[in-house]
Amino acid sequence: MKSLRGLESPQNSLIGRINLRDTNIIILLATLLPGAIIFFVNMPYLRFIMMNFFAYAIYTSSWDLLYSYSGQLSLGQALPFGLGAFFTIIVTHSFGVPLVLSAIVGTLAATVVSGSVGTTTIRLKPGYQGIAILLFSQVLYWISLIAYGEEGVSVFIANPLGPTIIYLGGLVIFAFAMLGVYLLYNSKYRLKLLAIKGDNLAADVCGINVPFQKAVVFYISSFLAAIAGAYYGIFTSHADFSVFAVPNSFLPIGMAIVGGIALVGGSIIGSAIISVLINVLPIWYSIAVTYFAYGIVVILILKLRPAGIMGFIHRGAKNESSKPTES
Amino acid sequence: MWTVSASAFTGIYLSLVSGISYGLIISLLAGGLSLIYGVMNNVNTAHGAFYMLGGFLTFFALSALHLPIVVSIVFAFVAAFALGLVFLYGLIPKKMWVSSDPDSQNIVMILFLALAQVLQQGAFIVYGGGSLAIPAILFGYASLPGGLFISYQTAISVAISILCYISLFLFLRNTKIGKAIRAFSQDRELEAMGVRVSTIALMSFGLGVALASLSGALLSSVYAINAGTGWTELVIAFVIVTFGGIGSISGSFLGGLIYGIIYSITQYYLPAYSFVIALVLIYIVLVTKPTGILGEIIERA
Repeated sequence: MKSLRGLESPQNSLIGRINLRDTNIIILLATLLPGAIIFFVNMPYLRFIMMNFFAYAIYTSSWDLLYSYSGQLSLGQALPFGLGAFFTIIVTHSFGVPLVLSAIVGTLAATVVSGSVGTTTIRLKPGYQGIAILLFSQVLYWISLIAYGEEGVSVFIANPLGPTIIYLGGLVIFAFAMLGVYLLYNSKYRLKLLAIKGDNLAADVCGINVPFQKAVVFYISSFLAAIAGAYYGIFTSHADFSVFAVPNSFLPIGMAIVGGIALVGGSIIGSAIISVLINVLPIWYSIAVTYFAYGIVVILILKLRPAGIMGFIHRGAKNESSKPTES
Repeated sequence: MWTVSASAFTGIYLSLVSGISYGLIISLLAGGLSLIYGVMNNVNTAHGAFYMLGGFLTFFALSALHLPIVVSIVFAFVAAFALGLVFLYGLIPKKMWVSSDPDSQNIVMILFLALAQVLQQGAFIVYGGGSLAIPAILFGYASLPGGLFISYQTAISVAISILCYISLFLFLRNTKIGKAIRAFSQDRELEAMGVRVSTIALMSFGLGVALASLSGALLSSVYAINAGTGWTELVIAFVIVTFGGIGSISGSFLGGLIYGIIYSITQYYLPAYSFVIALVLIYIVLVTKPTGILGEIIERA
């Protein structure tokens, strides 16, 4: 993704920017297909894993957008995710508002709060910024624990959406969110972000309003994470303090690394693998073994294949295209 | 931790004494984080996990090796030092041990975060989720002026913390490697003059995580430690280090005292929100004065 492939001849229309031969789009379509098939199959646990995957893929791309393109580091990405989940559940729980409406309100509220917090940290170096956001997510961890206890908040009213609609809604949200991130990655705006990441000062000299653009990316990233959190809140009908826990902030980081950073396909693949891992392994082993394995996988990928699984795919595609053709 | 014999004492007095003792012990954790950052320019996001490991190593030495409690604490310190070297060697590419490149620093932070997850879940697998019961070095209470009582365990832990700080300062000022660590913190170009950066990084990292482990070992008999411990302590260490100035050992000492006092005062008046208030305060400091109260990024001689 180092090259500016896809930007050499930018199309004016959004649809024109979608390159159907792009690996990222192929991966997205390849994910939508089983997603659509599972919609017609009545397998609740498989659907639950897929709904986790939809939420985590959006969550992962929210972190990746921030880190890979604007050079900002969030070690507390659970902040917008958890707020999205909490606001959605609390609004329905307290006011009896339908979950869909709560999710919209929750997403917007979480975006405003997280984006505002993020804006106060954009002047900091990535390490300090990561710590500042981590601190804030820990503040919410304790506030939610004090306010709602270990049991958290649950919506016990019969969910009028029904599991099928929730699943289909997740599939649609996932498709649009990932397509949106893909279009952002393949737009001229990405060049601005890369310039900011590369050299703040030089970007400023070139006329880019660096603090403003960083804040904009933070709001976009928060919006994506809040959508993921709100959806997570809807399909679990529950939110508790653990959504703000550090391991939850580590989830999107690990998923992006496993899949390959700075790529929509990487976020999708990483989330798919880890979603399956953390939902299927506990059938045979404990949760602790599952997350232990998750940590080991992230370490091994970072050590041995920093480009993640997308690195393998791109290398394979490169080898395939460089094979001599018989004449 | 404390008992009050009469109602004549103000909350401030109680909080001051309690805060100073807690702040001193927990500042060892922050001091280790600061030492590592000051030399390596890397934030050890696994620092909280080493705090947790300190408690577990002490418990292991007590229960499996049947060592006396004091020897067990020393064992935790030495074992954490050795494990720190192993993890640094095994996990972090050597070229990233000391780096000012933000991308490299971020990768190291993520690697340490993954290590923390592995250590925490490893502790869950081996010891389960229950809290450890580590006995005090000495049982009983000593009286202080004003009718306040302090447990011997707390007093001994405070004394060990002070001893550690004195030893650390003597080590940094009087030994060859200590002088090299100080010199390297101030001037990264020393590598060109024959200073072995890898040795300095190894020593700093080992010492840093050993201090975290010692802090965990000392506090494990006062506060409960379980496999889930470490994340909050990591945040506390960040809080103290940020208060004192990232990279400054003396700043960590001062930051630890300030944090301990603020935490104890808020715990006395608003117990439920003590940690939250302390975090909000530090958040304000972080975004308004990132260099901390001492106003310097790295330790000066």
